[in-house]
Amino acid sequence: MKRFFKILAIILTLTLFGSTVASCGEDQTGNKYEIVVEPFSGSGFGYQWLKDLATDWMKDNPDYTVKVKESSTYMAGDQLSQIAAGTTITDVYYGSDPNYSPGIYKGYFEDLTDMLSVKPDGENGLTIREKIMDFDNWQKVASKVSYDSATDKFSYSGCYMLPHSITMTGLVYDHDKFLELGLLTYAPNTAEVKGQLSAQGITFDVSGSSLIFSSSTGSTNYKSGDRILIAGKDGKYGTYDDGQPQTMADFDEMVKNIVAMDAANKAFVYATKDEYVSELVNAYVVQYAGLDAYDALTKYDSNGKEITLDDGSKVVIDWNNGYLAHSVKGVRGAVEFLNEYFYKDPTYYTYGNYVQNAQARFIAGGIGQADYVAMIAEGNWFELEAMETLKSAEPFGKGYGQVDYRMMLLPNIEGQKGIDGNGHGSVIASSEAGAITVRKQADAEKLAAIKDFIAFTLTEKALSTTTVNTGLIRGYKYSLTPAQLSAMTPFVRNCYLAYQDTANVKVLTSATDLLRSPFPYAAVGYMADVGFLPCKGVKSLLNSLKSNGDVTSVVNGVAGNYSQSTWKEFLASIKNSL
Amino acid sequence: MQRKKASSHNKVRTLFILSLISYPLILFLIFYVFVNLNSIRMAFFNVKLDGTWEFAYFDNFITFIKGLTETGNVIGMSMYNSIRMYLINLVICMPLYLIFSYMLFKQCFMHKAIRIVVMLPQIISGFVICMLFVNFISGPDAPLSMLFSHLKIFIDDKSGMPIDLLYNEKTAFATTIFYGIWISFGTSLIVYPNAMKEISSEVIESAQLDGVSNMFQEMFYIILPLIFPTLSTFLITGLAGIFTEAGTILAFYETNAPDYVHNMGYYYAKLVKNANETTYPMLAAGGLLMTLIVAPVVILVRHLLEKYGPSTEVQ
Repeated sequence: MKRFFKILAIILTLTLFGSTVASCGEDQTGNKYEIVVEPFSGSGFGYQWLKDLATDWMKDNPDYTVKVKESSTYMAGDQLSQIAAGTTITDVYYGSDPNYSPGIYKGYFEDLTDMLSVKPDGENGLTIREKIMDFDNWQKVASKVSYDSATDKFSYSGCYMLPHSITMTGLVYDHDKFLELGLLTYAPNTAEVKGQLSAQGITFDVSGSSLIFSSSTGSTNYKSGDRILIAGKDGKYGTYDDGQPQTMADFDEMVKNIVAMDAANKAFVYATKDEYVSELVNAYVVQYAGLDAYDALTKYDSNGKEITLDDGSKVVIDWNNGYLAHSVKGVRGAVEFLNEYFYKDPTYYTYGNYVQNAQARFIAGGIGQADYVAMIAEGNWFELEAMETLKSAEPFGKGYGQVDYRMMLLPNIEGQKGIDGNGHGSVIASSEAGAITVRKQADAEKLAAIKDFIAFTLTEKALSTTTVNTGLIRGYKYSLTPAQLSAMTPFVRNCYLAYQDTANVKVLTSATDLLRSPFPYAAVGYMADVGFLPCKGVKSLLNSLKSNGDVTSVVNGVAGNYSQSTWKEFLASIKNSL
Repeated sequence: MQRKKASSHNKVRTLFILSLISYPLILFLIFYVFVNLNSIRMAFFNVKLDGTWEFAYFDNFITFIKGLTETGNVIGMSMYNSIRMYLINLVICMPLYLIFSYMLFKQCFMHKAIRIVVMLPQIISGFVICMLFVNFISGPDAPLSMLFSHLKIFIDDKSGMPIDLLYNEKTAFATTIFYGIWISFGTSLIVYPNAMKEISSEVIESAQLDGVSNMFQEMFYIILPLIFPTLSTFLITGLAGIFTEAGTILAFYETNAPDYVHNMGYYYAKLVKNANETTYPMLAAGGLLMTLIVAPVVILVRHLLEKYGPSTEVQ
């Protein structure tokens, strides 16, 4: 018996200490040639695209193994905790959010400045710096900010992150269904329209008041015999935004037509937990108030230009008065838009608690006896994320890639500044924008290989293939060949074309743009992770409507996010923290 | 030879005891002693983003106190709600738990059914129950909202919509409290009736002979004094946890709860999850301040309960 207790005691001791040591230690593979890459697998885009790229890269680099973590749903904050605790073996993060900044200051990540001059596509190609969309903007996002108390000045240095992904959030609709229901606007048979069509190389037939597509010298999305729709914001026929409502009045008429067709019809469905409808509000405010107002709201700097506040006064925003940005004119209209279509009157909308519920409701809408739902507040990842639901809709011709889903641009808002400051263009907000970071490496050879791998994932071929296969839009300048475009699903193609149409569409990347100032991570008490238009007390605008019941309270809640004295404390704490 | 054997026996005994207590002891040293000492130290420092510490005198305490006293600040609201939660538990919940427990103890009409009904939420996963509750009461398509709409009651004057109990400023806090009471009935109806069952039937019979003639008298003069140690344990642990108890807010709202339902436990949980280390010193200072308030109160209450509470010894 004594012997038994002795053995038991030893086993207990070994087990307990063994488990402690095992849980605290790093998972060492012992292979210095292994590069562990961690993409975010929780989104619709998945990780297969990165595995494919890793396989291709390893063909030319047989000494290295790139291991792609397949089931990481960690956000940057969790990953930073894992680095701090020494419980991760990840070398490269392809994060779906860019909030790695606190880790930059702690020395967790490599400075990737030298990568900016790398030309992934060879000597004749662009450098990574040139490939990055709006590099000056990105540099602020990816830099370390320092504060010099002697001169009371802030400075930016280094480049610790590279852009990864850009997403788009908006109202998604089934184009063919809209055509069937007559919800889109057809081009009128006027001399002006006919002239524009001819100038675009489109030949057409006239049938009464209709213009019927015949052929085109350029690329369009019409088939012969299609009735031609009005041109969208781009002024071109046969593109991703044809036939969409041009003004808010048109939009309202369309919504009312949808619900008037059948009492069971709903114009919109959205997920209450993920609240992509908030992105519509963000887009509305920026489209109305302009891009300087957006900079005022996201980096607390209106670029020296005046922005108009809700009370009509004008003010130049900088870090000393950033709290005033939330009073920008346009918030009221945006909240009224939210209230009108997504809260006040359930005739217009339905919802699901989670995205999956909302997606199922949208996809099934109109099939068999299911009530029709015209639009869903979703992102460009919609098809991939809803793959399983779409598979079940395949027998009804609504399967993956079978439907011409399109993203509806926000119509012109009366008095809008638009994306050019002169009232032109539409804004699409994005709930997610990711970044690439490299964890500090001890081995210079391995670091060089990691940088080589990252550069490989930024080649024209890698960027375009990823977009074609997944719909994931990378934050770089790259183009797709006509063959690649035709290989995409209609929805992915439409989203990509909208994103590429920079003259008419501005895709906001607020998740990264907010990091252009250190407020989100260095100001004690700042409401981080709630977008750039939170409402005091409730954060979410939709919940704020539920809470307060009226638009004015929500507008006041947004304007009252931070007081002058709180803002002063923010600035003081930033100076302390840097 | 005998001494050698005894010495060897002692060594084995010591080794066995060490093997049992060393692990929890290490955990205690790391997760209690070190964490608390570090927290106390942190309260007097600023933590910079690069992880370096800078002595901050009482700045963090001042920031926390400012937050407590500033109108509309979430820290003040959280503390107010924590105190409200404790008082509601004390004044409403505890008497309710005791009454129900006594009914079960006396095997009142349908006591088995009552036990099943209050135990049901304990049997099903807490997450599932919470989801069911939220879906039942919150959102335009929630059964309760539809009922309000149908009966034309609880309609918001401004929007004309049925109020959402979880997001209406007037009802949200009360809703979380209601859920807390309902969900914790199960635990209380195990603890109190079991404590009551420990009371000897002779004591109760004797009390009846001495003139205790109804259930009210029996409960107040016999049962409550005899289960007083259990009661005082609940009172003291409840008071000690007044600023750490987050309730069900995290389950209802994740980290997006409106300010008006925040309590201190939730406020801390949320910030530790969402904020970075530069915020921790202010939280550490707040924790220290709250300990300075709560610890003496707990000790005083414990002393008063021990001194003036009824004795459990049966003469």
